Amino acid sequence: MKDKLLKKFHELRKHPFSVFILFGFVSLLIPLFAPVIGVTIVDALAKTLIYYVVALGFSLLIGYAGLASLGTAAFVGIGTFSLYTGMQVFNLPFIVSIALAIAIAIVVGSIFGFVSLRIEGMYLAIVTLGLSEIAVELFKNFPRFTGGVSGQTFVGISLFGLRLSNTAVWILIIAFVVLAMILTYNLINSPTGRAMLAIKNSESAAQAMGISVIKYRLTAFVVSTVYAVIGGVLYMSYVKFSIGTHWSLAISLNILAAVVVGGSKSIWGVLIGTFIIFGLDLAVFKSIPFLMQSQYANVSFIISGILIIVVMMYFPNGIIGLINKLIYKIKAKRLAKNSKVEV
Amino acid sequence: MNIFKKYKQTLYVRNFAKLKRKQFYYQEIGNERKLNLVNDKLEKMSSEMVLLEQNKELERANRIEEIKLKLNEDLKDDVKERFELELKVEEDRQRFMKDDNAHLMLTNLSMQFGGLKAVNRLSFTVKKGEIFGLIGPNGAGKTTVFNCITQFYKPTEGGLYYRDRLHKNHALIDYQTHDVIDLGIVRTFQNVELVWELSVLDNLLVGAHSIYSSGFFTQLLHLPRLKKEEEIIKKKAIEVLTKLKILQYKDVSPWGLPYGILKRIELARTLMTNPSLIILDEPAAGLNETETKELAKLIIEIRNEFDLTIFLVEHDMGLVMDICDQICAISFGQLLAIGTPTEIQKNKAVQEAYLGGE
Repeated sequence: MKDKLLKKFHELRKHPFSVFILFGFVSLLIPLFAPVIGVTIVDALAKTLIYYVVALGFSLLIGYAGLASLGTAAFVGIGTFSLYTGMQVFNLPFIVSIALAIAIAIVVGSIFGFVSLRIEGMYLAIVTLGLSEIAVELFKNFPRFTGGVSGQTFVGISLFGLRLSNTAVWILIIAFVVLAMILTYNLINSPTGRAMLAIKNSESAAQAMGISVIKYRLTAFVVSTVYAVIGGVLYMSYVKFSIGTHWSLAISLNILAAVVVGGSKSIWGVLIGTFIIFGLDLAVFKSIPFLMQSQYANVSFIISGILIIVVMMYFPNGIIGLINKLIYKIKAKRLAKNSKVEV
Repeated sequence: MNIFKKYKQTLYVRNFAKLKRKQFYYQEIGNERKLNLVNDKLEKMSSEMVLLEQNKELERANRIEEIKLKLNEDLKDDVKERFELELKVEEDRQRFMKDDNAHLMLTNLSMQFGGLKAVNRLSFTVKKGEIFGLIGPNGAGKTTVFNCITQFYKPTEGGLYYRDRLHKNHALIDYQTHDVIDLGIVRTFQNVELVWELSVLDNLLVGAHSIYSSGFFTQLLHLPRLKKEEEIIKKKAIEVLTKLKILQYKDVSPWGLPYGILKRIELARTLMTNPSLIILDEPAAGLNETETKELAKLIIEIRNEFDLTIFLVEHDMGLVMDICDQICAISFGQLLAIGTPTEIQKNKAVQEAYLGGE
């Protein structure tokens, strides 16, 4: 009986999802430490985890499909405002509002995706940047849904008639983070993920193997947009305030930086990258009194800029590439040691 | 209206291919009930396609009548030429339909890039089960011919006809690049195009992409259906790898492997979809002499084992002369000669093209 249980436990431990779920459980405990570490830090961590969901979607786009987009922030903005519109303007339940947000994401993602069929690389980045700036202008000009230039406050989400506190929203965020990790893992280990890699590698070879470029580019864009919009929904639920002008180039670039610094093809790498780019800024630099003086307000940008340069120059696979290398070296050393003992 | 008709046809082809995938899957897991359902649908669809084909045939006959009538009138030279070409293509097509041995036919194929005619009125027929070689000096348009067959380029003139394993005739020009593999035509590339981030086994799974039948949500949620399918296809990949004697590389990245092995991996990848015609673009480029000899042996072996037709472009004359049943020599996009290796070797025009005239 005990053996059987132990065997089952080992099987579960080896299952790829167990690490994600463990990560979820550990992060659930963080609000318990709020009195010790301060509410600001918990808020910063929540924001970082929200951006992590967005960055995961973006890593699918840039790391797998090889499409550079600078429109991510606009999608997050769309997410925030569609949650507000759904819940406060039309008085829809939370679940329906999320469905509405996803529907909008699919439409907007397909529009951006169709652009990607014609152009590639840097040019695609510029066009998506243009589209996202259009979105920002639209945010400014529809005050009924977006609050215009002064931004929109949100009363908070309620599930089954109960208004959720920030701790409850934290649980929701963790649930979505774990779900996003699992779905990303599934997608990159399926024919779809491989097809995206094949297209990134060589479009003509992919077509010769029966991979439709249109289909998979659109899929990549739509999936990444849905992730971003979900990120927006979580942001609105937690922060309860969103302003149109916030969702422009700076956030898009930060997400790009997070994915690139961490390692664009690794779920854990993106987590590390998000914590470096967003977490350091929100949790460390913005909470040290000395650095909060106005003349040092932008110090985090300098540090993340230097980090990007260093990582790009010396570790093109991102920080996760470096970590993998170290692990490999340690394992090789241990193996060599063991074989010596046997000899 | 015309666009709509064309779209309807591609839709038919795609749905047919989808059903074929399902048929393969249910056959492999042995689900009788579902298999019968799929078979019924396939039959229904085939009869519908026959109807569609008949309609097209009628239209074509009308068009030919029209052209014949118009030819009697006084016409400008270039219009007349175009009409005559259309008649010729149609004649060749009729011949292709009657010829049981033919597998792939090019008739009066032309490909023009701006002012440059890369391929000019090229016609030849590849027979079932043979190894057909296409040779020519640099810049003769060999790769352009390949790209026309696999629909990377849409030929500017002429016809391209192909008969699949089910003895159905297809005009390849009607298909899109990524639909061609469903007909059983697979190609390799001059400079090996593998996905370097994936292991060799995963590369073979990419090659099998067109036989996966699971949809997007099955993949997103990793439902049992996908797992079963992956198992089936992985088993097949391992079989193919064993046959090509590269099983030991299955879990490593192809990055940094010797060129001969990479060529073998690419060949293995083409075998994943049960093709009937494999198009090899310079298979021996970058290989040394022993590797080339091994490759020649391998090509003949897989031809016999998998019942394939092989169509290759090659610069290495030794390889071409050794393994090809039929050779076609072209120069500046124009046909020089077709024949057996010995005939080609003796041909004056070919010698001149390669060595220069007097």
